[in-house]
Amino acid sequence: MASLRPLILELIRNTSSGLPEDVLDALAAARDKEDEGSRAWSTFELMIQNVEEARKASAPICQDTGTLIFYVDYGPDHSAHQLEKDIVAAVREATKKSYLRPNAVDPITGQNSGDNTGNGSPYIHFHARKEKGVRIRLMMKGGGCENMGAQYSLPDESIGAGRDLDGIRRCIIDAVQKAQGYGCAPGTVGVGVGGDRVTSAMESKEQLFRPLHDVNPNPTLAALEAELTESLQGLNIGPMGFGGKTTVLGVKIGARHRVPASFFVSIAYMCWAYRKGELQVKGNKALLDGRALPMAVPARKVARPATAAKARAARKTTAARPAAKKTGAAAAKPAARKTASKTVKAVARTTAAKTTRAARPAGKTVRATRPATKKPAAAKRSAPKGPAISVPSRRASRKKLPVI
Amino acid sequence: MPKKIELPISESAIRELRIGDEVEISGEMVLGRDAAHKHLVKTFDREFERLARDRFLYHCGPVVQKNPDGTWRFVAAGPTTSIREEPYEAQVIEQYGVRGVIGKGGMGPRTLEALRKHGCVYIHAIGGLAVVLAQKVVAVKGVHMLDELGVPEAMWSIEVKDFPSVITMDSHGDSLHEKMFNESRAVAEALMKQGAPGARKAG
Repeated sequence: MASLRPLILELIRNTSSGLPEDVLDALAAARDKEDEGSRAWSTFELMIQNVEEARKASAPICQDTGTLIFYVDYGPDHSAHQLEKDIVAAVREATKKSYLRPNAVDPITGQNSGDNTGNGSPYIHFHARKEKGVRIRLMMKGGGCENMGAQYSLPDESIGAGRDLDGIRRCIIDAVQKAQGYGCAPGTVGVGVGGDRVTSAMESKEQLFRPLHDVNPNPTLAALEAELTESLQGLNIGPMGFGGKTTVLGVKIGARHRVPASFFVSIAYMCWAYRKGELQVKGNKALLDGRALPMAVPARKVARPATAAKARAARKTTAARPAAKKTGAAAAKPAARKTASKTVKAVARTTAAKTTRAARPAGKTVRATRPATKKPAAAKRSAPKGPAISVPSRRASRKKLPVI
Repeated sequence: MPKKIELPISESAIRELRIGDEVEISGEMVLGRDAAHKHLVKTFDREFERLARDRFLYHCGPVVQKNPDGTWRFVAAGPTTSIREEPYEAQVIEQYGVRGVIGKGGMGPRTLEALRKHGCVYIHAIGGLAVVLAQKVVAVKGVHMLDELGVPEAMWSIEVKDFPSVITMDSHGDSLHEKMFNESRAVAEALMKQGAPGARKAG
């Protein structure tokens, strides 16, 4: 098994310098709900512009590249020990290449380790699985929004929260209102209910890996998520707390069994710069956010085989990109072209099936695969101002980020 | 439409600005964060006064690149959280004649009072806008106390063009942060009373 270090490095670079499609869609939809030229409209417009510029420059979208949180599901053909070594090495290299700001500080001495490693840094969560291969999910969470998280112990008299669904709901409303714009709103709210203090907080973070537009398999929680995603917009906090029609991009709730004496509700607030990525490796195939990656060391700014038929068509029409010729990626292309779409579909199918099987009554959700056909950006800024406040899955009027 | 602001700026022009105003700032301003503020209240710094009087002070720890010819370029220049400077800012505004403080998250009552008394505003830049804001820095004019404070904490003198931001605390005692908090608290309390969707159906 070759070292996964170069693939993990690419996962870090790609995650740091862009936003997932669902988040960009939500930001564009939020912009389109505002009156063009208003304060909220231009703030969203600048946010989207910033992501596009960062992608072009392959630079971090935010100078706070955050806490690095890795969730690793590995099969019998991988070892946690080796994966940890690869992740740590990739993090060091990514810091050296300025994909990451040195963000690991010893709390006692105040010393910055300079390479993002240290006691408990990066944070890696391992989970062994039966199927071969490995899935590495990465979240980069800035300090500003992390500071706006909260943990409630119910009952909490100050907000009238008892040990029931109504109490949980009160905690979420309270936390979002108190966060104002300080966590770089509009945020996505991950909620962990139950567990002990640690697992409750962990659940709240894991919820943030869910796509924005999926539906919680637990109908009670699904209803609460939908209702809050709509009603919290009424707080009118808006982007950065400037006021506006979108205060949250989504609310994601998971529950874990608790001991009778405890009832925790943990809130993880994620800023608008909601950076998350997923690397899947099986045999000699690798997918980054569903897009095939060559197993060789990826160079920067190299055209690499993409996933969808659309990308293949684009390759036919645009002249062969010169960068690709210079490196080995060109050689890898034909083979990848044959397999790419097949693998994407197959992997999507198997992961979907797996997640369904693994889905617990609350918490884990079925990952909705994106529809294969995507309409290109419609006439810019002309999207209808629908009455629905919940985050839509439609591609709003914005450019798709280029693959760099 | 955003109001254009040219630096340096007069007190009367500052008094015309109100919370919620969108502005685009052009001209020379100076950076300063934690270590700089500590230094500025301890000793009167003439060089900082030259850079800051009738101009803006930006709470920012930039990522800066040194060009081969010895000049500098800003790579990332988003705002940092301002409330950490609350113990010092009122004094800095008074002593150095700063007309605007740029940062994120807003500041406390002492700063709000200093803004009113001395004719100054608090300006909110957009967090997470590292790349776009760095592009608005058209020139790095110089740097004060680089050796003593290091790159992120030094007092960089920069020229910006159409730097986008919003006035969130003005010179008339108003704070958009306070207003938003109070208004949203009332909405939140009403929402809490409504109860959960399932519970509402049952009731």
